[in-house]
Amino acid sequence: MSMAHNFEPDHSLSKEELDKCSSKPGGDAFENPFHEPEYGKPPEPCILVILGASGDLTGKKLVPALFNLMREGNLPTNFICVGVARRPKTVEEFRSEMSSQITKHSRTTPDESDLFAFSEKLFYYQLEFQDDDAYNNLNLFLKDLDKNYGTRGNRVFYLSVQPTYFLPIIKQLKTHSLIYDETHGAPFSRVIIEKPFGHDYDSAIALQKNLSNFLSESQIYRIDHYLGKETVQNLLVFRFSNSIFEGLWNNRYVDNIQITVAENIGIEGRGAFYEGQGLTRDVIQNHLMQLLSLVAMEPPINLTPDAIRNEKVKVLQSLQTIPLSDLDRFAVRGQYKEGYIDGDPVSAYRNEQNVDANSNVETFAALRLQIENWRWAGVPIYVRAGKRLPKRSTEIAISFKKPPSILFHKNDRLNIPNQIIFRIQPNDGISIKFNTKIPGSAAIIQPVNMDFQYASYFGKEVPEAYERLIHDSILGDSTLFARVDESINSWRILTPVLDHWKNRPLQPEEFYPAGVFGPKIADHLPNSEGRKWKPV
Amino acid sequence: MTAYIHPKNIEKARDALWKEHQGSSAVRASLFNLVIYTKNNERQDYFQKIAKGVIKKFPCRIIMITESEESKEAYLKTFVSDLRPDDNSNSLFCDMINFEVSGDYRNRIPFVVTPNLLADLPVYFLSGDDPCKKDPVSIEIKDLATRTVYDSEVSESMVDFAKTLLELYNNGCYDIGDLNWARLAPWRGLFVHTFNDPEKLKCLRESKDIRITYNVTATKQFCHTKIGATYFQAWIATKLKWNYESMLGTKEELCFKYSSSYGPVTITLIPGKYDQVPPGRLLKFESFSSKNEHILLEKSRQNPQKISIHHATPTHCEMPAYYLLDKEIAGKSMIHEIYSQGTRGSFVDVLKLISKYNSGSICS
Repeated sequence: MSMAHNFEPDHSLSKEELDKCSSKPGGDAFENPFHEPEYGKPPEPCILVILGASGDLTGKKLVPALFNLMREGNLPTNFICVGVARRPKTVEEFRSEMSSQITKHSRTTPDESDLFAFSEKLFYYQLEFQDDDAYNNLNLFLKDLDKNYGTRGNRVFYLSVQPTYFLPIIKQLKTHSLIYDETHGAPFSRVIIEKPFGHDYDSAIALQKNLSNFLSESQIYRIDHYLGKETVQNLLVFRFSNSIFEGLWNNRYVDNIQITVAENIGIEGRGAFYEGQGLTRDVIQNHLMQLLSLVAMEPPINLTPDAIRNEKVKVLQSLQTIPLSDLDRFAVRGQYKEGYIDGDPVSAYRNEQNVDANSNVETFAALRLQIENWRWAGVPIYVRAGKRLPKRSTEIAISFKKPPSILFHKNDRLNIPNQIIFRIQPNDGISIKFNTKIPGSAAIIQPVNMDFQYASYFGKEVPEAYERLIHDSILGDSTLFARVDESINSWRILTPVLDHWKNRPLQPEEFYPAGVFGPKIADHLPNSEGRKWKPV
Repeated sequence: MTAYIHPKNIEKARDALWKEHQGSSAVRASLFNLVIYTKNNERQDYFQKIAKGVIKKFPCRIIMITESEESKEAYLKTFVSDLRPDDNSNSLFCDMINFEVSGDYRNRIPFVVTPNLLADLPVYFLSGDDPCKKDPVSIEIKDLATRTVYDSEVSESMVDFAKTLLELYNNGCYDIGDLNWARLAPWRGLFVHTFNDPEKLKCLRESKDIRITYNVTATKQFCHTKIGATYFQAWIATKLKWNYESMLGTKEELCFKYSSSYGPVTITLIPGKYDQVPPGRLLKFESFSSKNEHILLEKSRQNPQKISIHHATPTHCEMPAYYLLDKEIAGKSMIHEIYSQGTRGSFVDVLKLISKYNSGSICS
């Protein structure tokens, strides 16, 4: 497949701006004599401010994550969480709402006394995001909490709001001195922002340019909850702490890589949001590209955030944009029609609430990508993601080249390649497929799986992704957050695909019934090269 | 009724047990070998609880050796069972091989343990034997182990215990730990978090008087209730680089004198009573500085996991902060020790300090 560069945007971040992407060492000015490696780096006292605290994410994910962090001794002792939203609410109401959300959504069963201890750390502040004065008052409110609870002026702002509010809020926070300039040893102020980071290549660059007027790169934490998952973190450990695999991790032995992010749910009432997004922006631009960069990166020189992210970004930079002439061959989209999930009928995307009856938005996408570097040149990478597929499953499958068929595999159909599969969810784990002889006099070969499951080996209390990520943001460790150049390089690959689709109405063959693995034309991607999608 | 077998039939008996589970979703798994050596006394149940607690979190092969010192008859009895976490939803099974031994048969122990260790997996040895006695059988098992965890509770003198462990550490590159030290991990974690704040740390450094209250209520299994508090004060002193001057005390209340760059420091261990927590656990830490600053970390009477943290200066008083200690579950300290690779420098520093104390036993 020829991969000519036909998408070379003429505007990008300047060298100075890209240099700013490197994280500066954060905060610690004094040495804690009690610190020991077994406890990890202790977090400094701080206030976490959740802007948009009345949204679902706060009750379902963020506050239960904070609760479990506290339960396991991973929050600073001097810690306060302030929920900020437009709705008027008393602190007692907020605490009571959050307690019942923790009871519903926490991975551990909370007991009354733990809940009570935690809820004492919660406060609520009503604020209209456009109201200038309200930010002054918020600042005074936080300073008061600092004084009473010893939180030392340290702040983490979690922007759990629509992306259109990112800039106006950050501007207000900066104008009213809620965000400070980074100075070594002084109180820290960090901002966590949810995806999407921009809408396409141009808007991501524009957003970054605007953000950098108010924040340094080391203050920005672009959260992608996939990176907080144990198996994702384990990718680095698996690859770089096991010498038996690294020698095989290249185009000499690997035949192809497949990454699947399948969901059986639909858009869950988020019609308005999804109409402006689509599957590619929602899943592939962030989660899937992050998985790809981790699986294909070179060993970092050390485990600092920048060393790891430098290697990840090199992978994304080496990804070839799909030539315009090949877009129809190597990029497939789909949209679900009526169908069945778990035996129950479900409606078509176009019939979902707040969705245009003629919507052109994709709920499935599959791409054939290629990394042009010494390690991966010639290895096709097939990625696919979709809504309303038969099951929820996220996995990375590394398929190795088949052995020569002269000995055991005279019938090539039975020549099953070795595979290493990273299951991100559910049943997080790793399995290795290899061939073995079926006992008996005939040399009949059977592939078998060697399977490792986190839950079986390490118990079921695997921390939620948000726990790890919030904890890291308080610690100032940005390793598991996307750096701006990662995000922009991901947009570089996907923007031409999105532009191509935008101008074409969906064709009949691009629809798929809910409950199957996307439209049939997606099979063409691997089939045309003599391969198949690995069943998940 | 227990079916005793000959040691040569252990493998066969294990296979027979495993066959009973075939066809179900059961998985037999081992991440490491855990060898437990205990005397047939009050502590036996306690060690069994530890074994069950460990496999709840990490599947392993358990080899349990129980020695009877009272029996007049000499014997070596062997039986095999499978152990599973109490949680019914968990389909993991672990092998458990039991040896009951008395008299001269004890010398055979290393010979029956060795062939039953899972090759290539680490061996953790939990010894219920007093290392000061230098029992040859115990030493032979220790030589098989990746890491040996002792139980200072069984030692008659904490000072002698510290000296013996230091000797082992210095002479044989042994990787060692102590359950009582491991049990302090939550309080050490609390300190890491609480004093990750320059103001509070300064206040602690300038302490002149520290009081640590521990639960003095003893049981048959745990009677040396001062060990945890003694370790803890020694840890603080080593971390803050205080110089040891002297110690004095009564049976229950001990007083340690140190000198710091800010002047003399006295640490007093005070007995307290709290029925909801096991013997020896820390209940309260209080520090008074030369500048009249006060830090108080105190276990809640309503919730033993909850610690309230108070910090007051002559001009300012913070609202109390709260910290939740890990829930106490049997086996947790052992798990902590298993996953603490190498002998911690801070543990060795603490042993060195304790070995300087008067030989008057802290345990008794």
